[in-house]
Amino acid sequence: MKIAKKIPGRNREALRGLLESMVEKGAAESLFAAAANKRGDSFSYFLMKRGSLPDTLEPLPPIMSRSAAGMLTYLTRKGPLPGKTLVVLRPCELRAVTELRKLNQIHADNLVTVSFDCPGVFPLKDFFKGKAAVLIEQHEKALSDGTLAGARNVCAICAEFTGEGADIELGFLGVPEGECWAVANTEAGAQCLGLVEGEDVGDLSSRDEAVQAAKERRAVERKQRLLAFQQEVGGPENIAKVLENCLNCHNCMRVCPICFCQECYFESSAFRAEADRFLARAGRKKGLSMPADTLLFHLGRMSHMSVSCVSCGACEDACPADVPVSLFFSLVGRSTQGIFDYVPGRDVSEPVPYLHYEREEFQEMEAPYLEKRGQD
Amino acid sequence: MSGKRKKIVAFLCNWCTYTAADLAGTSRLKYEPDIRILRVMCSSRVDPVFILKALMDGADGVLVGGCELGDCHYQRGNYYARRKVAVAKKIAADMGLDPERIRLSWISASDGPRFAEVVNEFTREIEEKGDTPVKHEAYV
Ligand code: SF4
Ligand code: SF4
Ligand code: FES
Repeated sequence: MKIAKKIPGRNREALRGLLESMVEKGAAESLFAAAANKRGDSFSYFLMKRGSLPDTLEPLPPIMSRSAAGMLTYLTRKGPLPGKTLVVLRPCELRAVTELRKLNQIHADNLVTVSFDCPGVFPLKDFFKGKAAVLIEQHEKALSDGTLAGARNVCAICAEFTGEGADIELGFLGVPEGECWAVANTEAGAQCLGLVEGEDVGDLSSRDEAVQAAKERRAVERKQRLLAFQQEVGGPENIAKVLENCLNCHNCMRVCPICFCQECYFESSAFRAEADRFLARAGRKKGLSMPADTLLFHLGRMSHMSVSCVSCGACEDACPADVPVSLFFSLVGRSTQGIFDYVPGRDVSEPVPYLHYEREEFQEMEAPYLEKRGQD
Repeated sequence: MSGKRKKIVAFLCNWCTYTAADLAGTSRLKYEPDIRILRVMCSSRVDPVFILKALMDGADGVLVGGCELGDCHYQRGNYYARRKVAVAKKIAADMGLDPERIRLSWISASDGPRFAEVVNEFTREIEEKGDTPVKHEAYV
């Protein structure tokens, strides 16, 4: 049973109103969503309890300061939240939550997820340098028309920008001005949404069409952008060019929601060695760039987590050196995911590739041996 | 091709391929000496990072050796290993490194001759390819 309701108000106002009234009506004990500072020019996630919601609730900020998925790992590491909690997630955060649930890093019991048509967000640095009020207004407009000029690299080419995997999905695209549509996709969502008043949306087709058109456009853009980027970075010299400004600070890893390890291999003693070992490496090559193993850090992260990379862009926002990390990971993720026909965040019952195998697969990996045997 | 030896790093599982290598040695089978063997408890211990690290550091080839499918000492390790090698090859290819410099072979404990054969065959292939382009360059 799918219920869909008209929620009055302009986009962010409508979502704020919906959340407040669901909490007030007792749909949930707590709320996990973004709120603004007092000046309204900075945002972060807050855990809030029913009866004490802040008046600066801002569930649709024009930036993504940290991925909510990472914080849900942190929050539920020792067990689920005790009461029902509404969680507002961008589509990429929702996909990351799905990945982390598969990896047993998030206790999802009691979570009711809310997501929405996301036009993308501004790069953190651009937002902090710019005029907040102007950028917020631009973002508000973009919520309705689906395109945000000046969005982050990965946002501009995101083709999975709706909240279709969430319990409750907010539609802004193809929806009449002055309202938004709330759609319950699951039983849990319907229970919450059922508590609020709102006229039923009879015909959802205008939104479906708008979403479909935008998806097609974005998919083409994604393909082209990644192809162009691939040509830019192909070959060892060119990778070096992309990464030559990298400070090896590991910020990208620390903010990545998928990088959940409490102790990172790349910060472990495996990378400590006596000075003469470094010197030997320096001698074998034309010098050794220090700190050593910067490229390896990225290759390693690619091999550990790119199968689950949800292209959320958190890494690139956190990079002090303007390395296009999220494009890089989106590119490699596309190919590592491709070998397993795996789409991160698609379905919580689909196992992550490293925790699963088929008996009959990838025989080409061992081909020379089999061929030989056949001839014997 | 003597005089210009290649560097091949081999990660061999303790229970099968390493034992086969040992057997090849004690049986005095001749195989190309370009190989540097690292023993791991199971082929699934070979993180794709190990493979990529070896290649970035200038190895001309990387061999991962494990038990025959179905015979892994830990039952399923080599199935996982195969997936990891697939990822390593993919990333290598994306980075412009030749994925054929990575080889996965199943060699059972009693198959010393097979071990020598694989090493010789792989060495030959690598010799044909020549030095890896990253051998002497300082990449970040
Ligand atoms: S690698 Fe970057 S884009 Fe991919 S999930 Fe991690 S933070 Fe997001
Ligand atoms: S890519 Fe950026 S954030 Fe990541 S280690 Fe390099 S400088 Fe730091
Ligand atoms: S023990 Fe040999 S492959 Fe697992």
